[in-house]
Amino acid sequence: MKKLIIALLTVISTFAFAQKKSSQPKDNPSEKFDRQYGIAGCGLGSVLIGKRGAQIFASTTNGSWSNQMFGISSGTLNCVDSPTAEVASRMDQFIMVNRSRVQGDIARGQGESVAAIGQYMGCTASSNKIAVTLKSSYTSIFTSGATVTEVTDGIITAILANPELAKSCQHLG
Amino acid sequence: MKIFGIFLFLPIVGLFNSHALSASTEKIEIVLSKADIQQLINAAEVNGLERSRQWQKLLHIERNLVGVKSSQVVDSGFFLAQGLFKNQSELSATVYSFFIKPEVYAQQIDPPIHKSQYKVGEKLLDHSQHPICRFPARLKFLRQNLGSQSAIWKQLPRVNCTYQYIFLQALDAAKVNFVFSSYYSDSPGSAFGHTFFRVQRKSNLAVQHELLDYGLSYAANVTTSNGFLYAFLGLVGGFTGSWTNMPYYYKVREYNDFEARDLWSYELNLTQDEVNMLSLHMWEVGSHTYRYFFFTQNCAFHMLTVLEAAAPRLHLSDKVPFNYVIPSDSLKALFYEPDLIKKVQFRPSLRKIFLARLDRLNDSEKNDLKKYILNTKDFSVLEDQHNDRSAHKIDAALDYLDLKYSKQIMDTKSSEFKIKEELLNKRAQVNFVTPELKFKTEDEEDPAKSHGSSRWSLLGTEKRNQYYFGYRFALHDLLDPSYGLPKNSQLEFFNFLFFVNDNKYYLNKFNLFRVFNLNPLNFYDRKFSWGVEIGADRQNKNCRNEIEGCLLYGTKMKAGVSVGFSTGDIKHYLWGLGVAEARYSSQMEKGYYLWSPGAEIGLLTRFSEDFSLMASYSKEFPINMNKFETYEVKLRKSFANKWALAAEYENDIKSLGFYYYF
Repeated sequence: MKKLIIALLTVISTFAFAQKKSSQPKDNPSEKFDRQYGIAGCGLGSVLIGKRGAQIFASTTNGSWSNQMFGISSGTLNCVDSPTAEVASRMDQFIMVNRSRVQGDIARGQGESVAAIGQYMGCTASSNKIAVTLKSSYTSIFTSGATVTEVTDGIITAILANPELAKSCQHLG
Repeated sequence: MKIFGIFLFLPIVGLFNSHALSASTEKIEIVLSKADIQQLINAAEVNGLERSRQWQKLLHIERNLVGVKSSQVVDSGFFLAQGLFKNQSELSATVYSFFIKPEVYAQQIDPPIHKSQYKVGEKLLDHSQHPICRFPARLKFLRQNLGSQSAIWKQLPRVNCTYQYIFLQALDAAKVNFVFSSYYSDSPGSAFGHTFFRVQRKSNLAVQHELLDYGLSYAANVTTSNGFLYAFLGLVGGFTGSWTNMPYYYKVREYNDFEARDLWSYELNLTQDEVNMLSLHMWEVGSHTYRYFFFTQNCAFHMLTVLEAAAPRLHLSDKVPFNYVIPSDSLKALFYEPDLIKKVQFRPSLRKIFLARLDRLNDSEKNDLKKYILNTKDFSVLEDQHNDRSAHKIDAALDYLDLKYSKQIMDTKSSEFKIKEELLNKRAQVNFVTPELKFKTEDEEDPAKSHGSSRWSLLGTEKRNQYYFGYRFALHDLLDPSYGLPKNSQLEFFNFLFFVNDNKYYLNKFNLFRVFNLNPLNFYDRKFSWGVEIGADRQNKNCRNEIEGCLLYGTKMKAGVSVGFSTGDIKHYLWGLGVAEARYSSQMEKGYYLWSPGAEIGLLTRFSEDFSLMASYSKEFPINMNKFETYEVKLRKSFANKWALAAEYENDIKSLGFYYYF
């Protein structure tokens, strides 16, 4: 079990590092969602691959001053500068882990992972509506070789392209 | 039995019991007078707080196997009664530490969140190392129980617990669920299942997106990938254990998807105050390590102890004798408390999801799916003139790929990922929204409904004064009632079977470990069936005394294929396996070692969850010794999941008797 977690994390950290390289400012409409700290910079990702995170799994904690670690591994921490970027950053973390589910649910136009993404964006519209909208933009969201942040940006862009739906998603401001 | 002896060397962390303040504490800068502190400590003593159940639970003080009370947390950071307070009891040291001047722990940190609200380079004053920040549950407990000392509590230092604040904000706990992840016999560490908490967030309650909840899990910090070393270190306490806090979607991915295990959530009936206390206590214990024991101080046990710390009205850990606890026992302990379980919820594994998608296909569509699986280049077999039919076929194919190649698909460069990517693109083009899959909670699969994990047995034979009796520590064999347990798996630890003949006792069988997994072959799931046992087995052939036989120590492994079919509601499984045995005995005719290849065939017929028949025959051809055969026919019918009637026929001895589960 532990091995699987580590395998999962290895893949995630690979994603995260790959992400760092490609986090140059982009000339596309989704630039405003850019997370200047990248996935590796915040939250769970940083804990797991940073020096503090290494401690979690290496069991070398001496305990006297490690409360901080436990809290930070909570995965919702963020160190981004704007609310929209914060939403995007949380979605990055979610999609990093659940990409396979998210992609399947969007292709099918229905599913729990889309509902969760809807909640990150603060949408009051039904998750079916969000899923159907995303399904119609499938090819622009999941371009071949798309990185995690590109997928997130693609999703937000697809929602914003539908003004009625976007209005219901309060976190997209 | 030697292994049990090792359990006695449990770590003992002594707690000091002196209530007067010692000279060494005078050096500490506190915000109160020494007299005030002493007043608080005296009040605690008058109220008997030190010996109170909740205080002991908050410190994780439990009785060990030899009856000595000690804390199960091993790292010194969890205790304040050391260093400057080394002559104090933990309670006085804690009271004292809460009043240390904040300046002692003050530091300037970079704002960890909401950076946009701060100027560039602006620092934040933080006291996270102050005991108030580190031990919030102890503080809450003391304030609640020493409420009459309000004048003193008013002088409690004001501190900024930045990280604790972030933790509590993120956790935002409203409801707590006890989660059981079902048995996973492919890996010894998870064979018994695993338990953890799912914390439902307040902000999540209205919409109930489970994926955005939190999973709090206690596990061993495993430092080896060697299976045998893992088992050994796990048994003798060679690992430390600690808590992790992760978004629940990690847990779902890990269990539901990668390991294809069902998740069962039991919502606990706790008050909001108890939930808050649990959050605070998780914070104070979360970063500290315990010593980990595979069978005693494991995830299942500590799930119960933290619940008791947060809600001392609950008596859970005393429901598990000698603290020997396997996950399903800890789950059952919850049911001893009236009304503690509010709701049971089931979350299907990827395998169950795939089977549900398969159910939506008719026979010819299933054939199309098989054709596609055999040749993933030929997508056309999945296409249909009706969108809904294509969609259902592709949906099933997608889940098949996820199930079969869960690890490969994570690598975006793998060929499996590319195949799935292509299929997803096709699916996105099909203009049909898949209706949501509905799963009903199958009651007979609820792990809380499983039979007791330990078992006694007594079977008499045709002769007077000749009988078998047995004891098994855990957990399940193919003939035991199968409610809440994996249907085709046998998993046994510490299984003893004695044979009594004219007042002479023989150890007939001992299994340190015995596992047998029947994996009936089908098109989608082509896994071997296999079994391993380690222990001792009495045989008659090749022994100097052929009547009494001799005890052969060693291991037996088997692997092969099995098939399953049904007649009406009755299910049958047939298997054929190759067998290899390696055993040692000093009582054999020639030599000490037996190396033996062989073969086994068998049949299991399950009339119902609690009524089964098994028959098997094996023949082995040991090197340089006489070949031998074993055969057995066993019939068992259980009642009320508590006991069973059994008729058995094994190597010319007929027996009749009963099994008792507890």
